[in-house]
Amino acid sequence: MADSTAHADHGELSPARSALIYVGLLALTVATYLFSRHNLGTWSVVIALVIAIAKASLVALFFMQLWYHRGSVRLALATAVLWLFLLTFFVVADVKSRYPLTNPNTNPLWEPPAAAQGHSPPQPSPSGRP
Amino acid sequence: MQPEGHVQEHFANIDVQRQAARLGMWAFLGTEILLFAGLFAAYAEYRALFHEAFVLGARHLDARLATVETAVLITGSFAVVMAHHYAKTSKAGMTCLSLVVAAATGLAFLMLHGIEYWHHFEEGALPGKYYSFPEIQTAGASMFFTLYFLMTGLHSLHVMAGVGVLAWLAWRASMGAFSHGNYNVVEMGGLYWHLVDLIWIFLFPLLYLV
Repeated sequence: MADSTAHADHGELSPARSALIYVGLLALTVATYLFSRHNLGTWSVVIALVIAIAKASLVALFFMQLWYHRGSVRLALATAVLWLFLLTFFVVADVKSRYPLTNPNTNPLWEPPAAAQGHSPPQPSPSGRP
Repeated sequence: MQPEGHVQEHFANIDVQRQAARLGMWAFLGTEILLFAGLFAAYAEYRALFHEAFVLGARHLDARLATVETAVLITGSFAVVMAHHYAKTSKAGMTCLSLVVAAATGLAFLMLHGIEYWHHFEEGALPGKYYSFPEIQTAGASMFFTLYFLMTGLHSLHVMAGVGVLAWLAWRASMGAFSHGNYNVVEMGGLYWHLVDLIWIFLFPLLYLV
């Protein structure tokens, strides 16, 4: 089973360990669902993301074998994640630091619909945005 | 089978060949992550703008069904890990069986997701100008459902491609194509399937839970 060329593969993922990780992933999935049933405010987002990152780490490190394959393949993932973070961070920083009136949701001229409109057109879009 | 028999002539040895394949696959997976990065950034922007609509939208989606879908995808990932293990240990029958199980979980996921889409079509919770869902009329509600359909739709396209890859691998495995010295293709197909799982792991809490 083990490769005779020891320098290439730093160990292997055994079926027993992968079964253990599989059970762990299922447990985390149930946990994140149960947490979401309670109204925890901002914490619900934090908890959901922490659990998602934990699950993603298990999949990437063991199922995708990054724990065993060092070097350039790890760099490829790290780069993609860094770019994802930069893109999201600056987009949100931009939206959050704008003059409030440019935000379609805080337009003072906008008035909420008086009553339920049945199947009438979408929702009010004050600034012409969908 | 001799491992050396499967080395292409432009690689020094089997390890160099495997590492090259892995790096190439990971570079591709990196671009896949960036493809979804645009949608994740759009989600973050519109959630920041229309917080209330996004919370109401997420509360309306069927979180219990999505939890089952998540479990189904994770099961598929585990099956692929086992297929990789069996291919490495030259067990053709078990490799084929594991790959068939993985492809079946993909189909089950698509079916469950189809049920979900059907409900949204019936109630009018559709993207953009087709949005006509009376229960959530908060500003930005159609934006939530637009992103919901875009993100899960693009992900489902990847699931379809993954099922195709897994079915092809299962067919190859049934003919005894993989062995101790030749399992690279199973590993690469598996990496793609794990990425599909990885993306869903983030879509699930963002769209259904928070």
